[in-house]
Amino acid sequence: MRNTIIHRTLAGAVALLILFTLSCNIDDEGIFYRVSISEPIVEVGAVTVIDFNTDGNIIAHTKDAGMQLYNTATGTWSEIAVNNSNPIRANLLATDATRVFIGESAALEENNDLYAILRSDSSPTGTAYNSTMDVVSMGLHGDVMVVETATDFEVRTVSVPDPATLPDWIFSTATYRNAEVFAQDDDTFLVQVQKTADDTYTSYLYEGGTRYPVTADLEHPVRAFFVDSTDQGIFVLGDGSVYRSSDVAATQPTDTANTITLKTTNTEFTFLPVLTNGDALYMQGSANIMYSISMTDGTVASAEDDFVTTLSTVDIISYISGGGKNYAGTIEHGIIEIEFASVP
Amino acid sequence: MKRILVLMILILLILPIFAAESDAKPLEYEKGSQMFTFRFGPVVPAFMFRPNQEDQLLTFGDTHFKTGGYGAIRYQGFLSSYLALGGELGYTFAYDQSYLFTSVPFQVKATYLPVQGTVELPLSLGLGFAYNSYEETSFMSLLATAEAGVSFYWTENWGVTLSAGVQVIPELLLFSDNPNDQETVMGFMPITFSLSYRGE
Repeated sequence: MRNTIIHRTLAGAVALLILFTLSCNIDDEGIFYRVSISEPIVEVGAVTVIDFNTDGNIIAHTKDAGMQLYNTATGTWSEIAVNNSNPIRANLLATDATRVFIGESAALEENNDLYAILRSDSSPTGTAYNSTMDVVSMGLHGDVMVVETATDFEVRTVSVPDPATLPDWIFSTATYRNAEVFAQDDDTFLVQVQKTADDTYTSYLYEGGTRYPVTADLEHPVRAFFVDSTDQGIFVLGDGSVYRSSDVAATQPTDTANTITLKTTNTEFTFLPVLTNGDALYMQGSANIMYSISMTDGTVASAEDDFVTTLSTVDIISYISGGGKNYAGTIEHGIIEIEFASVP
Repeated sequence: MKRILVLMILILLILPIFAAESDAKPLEYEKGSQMFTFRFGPVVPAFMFRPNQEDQLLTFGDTHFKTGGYGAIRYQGFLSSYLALGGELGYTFAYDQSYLFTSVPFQVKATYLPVQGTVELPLSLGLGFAYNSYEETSFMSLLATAEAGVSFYWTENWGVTLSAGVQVIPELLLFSDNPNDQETVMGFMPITFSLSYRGE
């Protein structure tokens, strides 16, 4: 009898232990905690944050509501009136010191109507700027674009759209296609072209007025990059491999053998946004995992800052930083402010 | 949700009218009696307890859950004339501000019936598990439930019940790589309308 009781007690204890173990969430993030900090869906659709206006509010392109001004203090949206006849394209957005430039869709090989929005306006509007160029790509955070002519892809500044301003940046359309420009700022941008003959990608970095090769004839395009104030550069390719240069002006980036899993996008060369904080370069990957890439050595880790949890429930397509604040433009959740707990 | 509650209360108020016209004989439970129940109704996010967060207790809308729904089937057999024991398999759903949360609770449920007859007062306690899913994450949790209700049987075998209770789902992160500061105890409050069949 005594043995029976002991055996039953032991069996019960083991069963309870198994049940208790089974009942634990072994993922890193709690479901209910994530619900408690979840963000509401915002009806403007996918948001590309472009620049701040004079009041510190954000000029943004939205998929469903066109150009919008986001009030960073109240979290409210107001329309930026632009007399466009076709939708503004999310990859035709650029800035210079005083303006935001936007371009509307056009038929293949037709010129695009560009509009300018003055950042000094508290209630900005878009005014016609230029309609003489077939613009194929614009650098979101810089004064740069790629224009297709009858024979070439030409990289030009938007503010002075004269090919003479960047004479070395011409790529023959007989040799290349899918020319894209990604701008970090006016002084740092990356231009990428795909060779028609073998589909390989070649990219160049514009840094401080000079052109440097980044990748040449690679199977995968550059999807994201950042160059810091000491000219350390990180370049993430389409297969997730991380390339790094300790000085982009002196050495071409090389493969660090570190990789991240990229999120799925519409095209294989769609630019993926990055955000920096000290030595860390943050990039959201597949399943909204936030990766932290070290600028110093290119090592990759899952970011563990508190802001990561908030962003794990949203799909980010753009970032903007200014005035000590950072914001993310998302696909469904509008604009979210990011607060770093510390500087790595 | 208010409409659903009002509808349920109206149904319970109207049913005695039919009862007055019926000559239903109350069933006397005994060991071996059985009861099969279909249940459905809204589920209210009652509370969220986060012991390691600054705001430890969130209630109702502050949990970021919206009112969802609960449906279940239950089978119970009577161990004595007042106590029934059985199992309940359910499905809970609720949206947060963006996405759908679902839970499949399955539990052993004991019901005590201190008042019996045409009108009954079932008091239940349940213990089991719930398979919870949200976005791309799923996990199995413990589940504890408690509820009370009012039943009305318009025939010897068929009856309806309006009940309210609480479903408690603890989310433990003991084997996670990260600190356990996201551990949470979630409390849902299902308000259910049930249709029951009872027999010998």
